[in-house]
Amino acid sequence: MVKLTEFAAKGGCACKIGPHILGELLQTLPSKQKAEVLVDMSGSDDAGVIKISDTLALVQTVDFFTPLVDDPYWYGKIAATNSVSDIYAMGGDPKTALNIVAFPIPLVEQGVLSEVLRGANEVLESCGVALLGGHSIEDEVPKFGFAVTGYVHPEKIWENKGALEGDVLVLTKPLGTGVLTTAAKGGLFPEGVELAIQTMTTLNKSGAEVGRTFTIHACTDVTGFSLMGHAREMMKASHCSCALEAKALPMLLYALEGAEMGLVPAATYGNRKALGESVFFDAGVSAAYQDICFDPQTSGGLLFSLPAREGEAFVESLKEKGLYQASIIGRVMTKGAYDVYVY
Amino acid sequence: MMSMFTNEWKNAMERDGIIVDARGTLCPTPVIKTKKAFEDNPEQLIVTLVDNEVSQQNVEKFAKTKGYIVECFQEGLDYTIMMFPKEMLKADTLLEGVFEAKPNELRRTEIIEDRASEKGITVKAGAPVALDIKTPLLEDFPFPLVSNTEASRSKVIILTKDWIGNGSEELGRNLMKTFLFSLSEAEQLPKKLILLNGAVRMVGPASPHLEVLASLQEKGVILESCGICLDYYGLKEVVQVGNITNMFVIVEALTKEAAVVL
Repeated sequence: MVKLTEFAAKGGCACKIGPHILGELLQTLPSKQKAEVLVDMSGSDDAGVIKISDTLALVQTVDFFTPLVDDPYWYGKIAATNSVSDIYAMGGDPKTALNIVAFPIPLVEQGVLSEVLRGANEVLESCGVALLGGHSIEDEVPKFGFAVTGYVHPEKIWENKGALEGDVLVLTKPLGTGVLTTAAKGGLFPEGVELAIQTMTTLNKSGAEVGRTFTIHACTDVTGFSLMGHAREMMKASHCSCALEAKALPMLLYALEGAEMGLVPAATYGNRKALGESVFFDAGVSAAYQDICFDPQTSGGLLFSLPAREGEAFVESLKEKGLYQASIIGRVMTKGAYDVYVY
Repeated sequence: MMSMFTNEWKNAMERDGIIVDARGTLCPTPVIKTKKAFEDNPEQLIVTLVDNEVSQQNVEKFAKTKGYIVECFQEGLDYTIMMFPKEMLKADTLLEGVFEAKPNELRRTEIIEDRASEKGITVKAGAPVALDIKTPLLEDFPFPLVSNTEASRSKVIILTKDWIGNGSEELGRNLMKTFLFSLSEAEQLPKKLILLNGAVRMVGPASPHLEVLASLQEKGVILESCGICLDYYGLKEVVQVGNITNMFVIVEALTKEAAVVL
């Protein structure tokens, strides 16, 4: 059987071009060209939003990446789950998708691509997204994903900004997909890898739906820039800092063991390089915990900021919907010298 | 972080080392190869060669979790990672002279320190290998953490009337304002505030305490008023802040948690 991961040095969201490389370039791009544009890239948000009417806005996003698992069916599932995630993170519902495919011809001929598509379509169907079309090119390294469009009420958009001092931060899915997909390449921790695939194919749909019944101040999904990167973007946009507790972070089984034994993807080091200046670690936070904090997540969970009094009830409701590892991971506080503090 | 790859090290590597050449491979392959070498050659010096920093850091992490003592050398883009099992150092079979030759360049582990002190060499105390970060200023700290809030929020305060203490009711009413304000500013907030009998008037529309109660709630304090009491005072439909609770919950708070009755 074809081993898909052998085609790509880095897989999943770990193949993102790091924030330390992109940051400067993005600043040179124009923003808010139109009054109807409600959310653009200036706040490092997950998707763009353009207003259509007083009750309807379009949310648009695009996501694609190289293989991070060997099985094409699961690669397709993970890619699709990850592609629609940004819409949920903005408070919207995904409606349509366009496929982005770059694939080696021999793999297409061997039926690998059709397996990828089968997995992806199962996900799109389960969240009510219509596949309208796509574009494919020949490439040496397989790449697969979607541009997704969704609907959101213009007044109910969840952004990075809006977190308030005193809020609690809730993370809906466990961390460690970067470590465990690295472990998978070496055939290590198979149970952990299985759980990682399970979490990467868990839609952020139910998390978002539960969120709509609570007072959400800010929301983002945790992906390639790691928990630290996405928490920092939220804090920066909200002009706050946050204090997280390492021991409270939900983690995949064997993620910590994997980090301890050095199954750390290159993007973790990249994230640390880019974010090290904005993150404070207490001396008690071990190197392995720090690596998990910078671990690039593929199809990671939603990070919510909401009033402290609603925190526990929110986590309970998430658990009822099957997000068993949803946890309160920290608090929002006054802006300090660092954006994120980890204890 | 890197030591000088002196001839002593090179000799030790050539004489006793099992060489794992992982150059040209990416993570996790160097770790996996090193792991296999550890398993096949217990209590031996393993030397892994890699050609990128990520692999160097990962192999080093792995060796340390396995209890090896690591020395790393960089030459251009290539890294030579020498990993000594502790047994080997204890057995004193290797590197006679190496530790003496370059004591200040050694990774400072306990065993090396022990060995060094046996030989009368002073080795500087360990430098952290982890992230190099600035110390935060003192004013960065006064905020509640998750564990802090969970732990300190063990207290349940039960208020039985809308004034504080016995004696003058007028004084007591003023004291309640001060009390609630001080409570809302307290470093360790209670978990719950339960209002019983006359105290439920504080969540009614005419209450002077609504603002401070709301701010307590905002800070995560659960505010609950006794339902029967609200009924009695005709306030059940006009509760301005907090939830309605029952005697069962109140009894549970008294028996199972650290409750303070005022």
